[in-house]
Amino acid sequence: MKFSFRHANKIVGLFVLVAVLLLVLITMFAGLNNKWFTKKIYFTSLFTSAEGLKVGMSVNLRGFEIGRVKNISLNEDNQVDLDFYIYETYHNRVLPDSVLALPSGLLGSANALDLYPGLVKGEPYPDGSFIPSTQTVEGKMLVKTRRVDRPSGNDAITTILAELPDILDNLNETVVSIGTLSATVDTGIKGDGDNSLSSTMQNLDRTMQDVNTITSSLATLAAGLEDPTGLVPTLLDPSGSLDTLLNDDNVLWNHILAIMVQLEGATEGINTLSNSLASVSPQLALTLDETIRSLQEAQKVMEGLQNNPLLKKGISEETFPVNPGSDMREDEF
Amino acid sequence: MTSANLRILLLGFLLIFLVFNTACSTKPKEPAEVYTRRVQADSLLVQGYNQTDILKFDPAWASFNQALNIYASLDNREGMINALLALGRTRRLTDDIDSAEELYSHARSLAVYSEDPKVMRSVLNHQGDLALRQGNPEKAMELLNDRENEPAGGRERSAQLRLRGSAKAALGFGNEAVALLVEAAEVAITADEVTAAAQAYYKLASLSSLGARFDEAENWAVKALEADKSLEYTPGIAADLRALAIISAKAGKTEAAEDYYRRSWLSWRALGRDEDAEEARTELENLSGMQVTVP
Repeated sequence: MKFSFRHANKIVGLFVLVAVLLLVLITMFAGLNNKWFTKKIYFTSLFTSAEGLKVGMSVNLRGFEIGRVKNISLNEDNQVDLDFYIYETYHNRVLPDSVLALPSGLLGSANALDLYPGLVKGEPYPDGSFIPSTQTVEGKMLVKTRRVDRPSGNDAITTILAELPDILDNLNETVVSIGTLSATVDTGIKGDGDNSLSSTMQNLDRTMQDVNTITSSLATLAAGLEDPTGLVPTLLDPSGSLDTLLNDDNVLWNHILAIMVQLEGATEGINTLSNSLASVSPQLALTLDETIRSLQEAQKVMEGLQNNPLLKKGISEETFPVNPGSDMREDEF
Repeated sequence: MTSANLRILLLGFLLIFLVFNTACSTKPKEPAEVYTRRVQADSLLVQGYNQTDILKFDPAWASFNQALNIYASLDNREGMINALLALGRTRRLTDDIDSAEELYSHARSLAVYSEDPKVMRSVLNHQGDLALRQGNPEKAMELLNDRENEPAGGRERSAQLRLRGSAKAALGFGNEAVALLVEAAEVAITADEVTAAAQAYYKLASLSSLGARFDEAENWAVKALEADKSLEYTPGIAADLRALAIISAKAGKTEAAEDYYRRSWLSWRALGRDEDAEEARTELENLSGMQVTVP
């Protein structure tokens, strides 16, 4: 006996229909989930290295996924061109001055790019615009000059990681400065350069020579004092004193005068030395400058008292560093 | 009322009056910490300008960058703009024109929000100068005639006129260029901006020399030298002496040229600008036909 369903065709048809519907539904859900049907606004950016960058990695704004990386390629200048898109819903966040950043993760780079929106209020960047990354000078400057909305981390580690690129940049600059400084100090210690430290060392040498000469003069003087027939007994002797000073054919007087001249020279040397030291180190120069400014402040207080409205005007405006302009006398003749 | 009471009353009034006046004479002060940081940034900026004068571009860049960081931490917009302009100028002088352009445009976008119009003028002047050096006087004129670069007195006005003069000269309008440069010098003198006047005289000397008007060129260069001498501005003095040497040599005044080259060489040497010193020394040797050594 043949076993058969009465409505076999209908049941199979229903199963197939349900399967197709399920497939459509799953596809729709997947599409919605992956924002296949959302309109995307495309942008470009520039990085110095593709390290940490991946096609398909998300672009986040304060932890929300607002777009994805579409393409990464090496351009002819050996820079990395990055194409990415932002979902239309978030297009209004891509304001002028916005910057794209690749944050540092605990183990290398993070899994997503961050968008720091510009703080300028205006129309968002149109489709196809270039958004600088923090690996470019432009991007760094935008972050440094605080023209972007850059969130501070929720915890200390996140904050430190966010600040890491800047810290490394500054460290790099500091290392360069230290390199220059050590070269200067090296040349300076040898005393054969034209820079401030060299002249300081040379001044120090001259000053030490002056001091040595004075010391030997003082030694001669001390020996004279110990000598029973020397300076003091001669001065104290009733038959000597001023009389000796005036009547020894200026021997003693010339000796005293020579010491005075040497002392003056040494003082001058020390003054020059202190001036040179000021120009050697910016920190020292800054400290000196602050002292001078404090003195200027004190001067202003006096000026303020003098210019009290009861007497005259108020405290005059402080002068700021004057921008020398762009000119460097490079004209031809 | 006794005379003693009257005196106390008068003294009281006087005290109240003095306290009131003192209060009026005191302007709001920035907090001590901010003041100290700002002074540090100002000092770094000045240090950078001095380092640029002696062509020490790496240390200058570091100084300007540190100043920028401090100004940024203080939200001091004018300071940031000045630091960015200085950084841009450093890049221009090291032939990194793209970076210079970027830095100038950053300064400009910050200047948009500045309440001080002088800041925007300064930025536009820097951008105009860059356009001129890129061989684009039309763009320079556009920037220098920008409605935001409105005429005003002082240093920036003089710089604007000088740059307009340079642009006119580059466009082939010699007479208009001279008129603008003379005006630039006059504006600077009126505002007691001797450096700006020296720059205008220097440019005038250059234009006259290129036009083979050597007596006129010499007069302008001497004026520039006098102005720089009055400020004891050594880089300016050395450049003026070099200019005078070239002009004198072109005018056939060999003896004067030798003298100017020698002084220029020693000035560059004192400044530590070895390449310029060497160039002046070589010119001096070529002119005198003798080997020149340190006196």
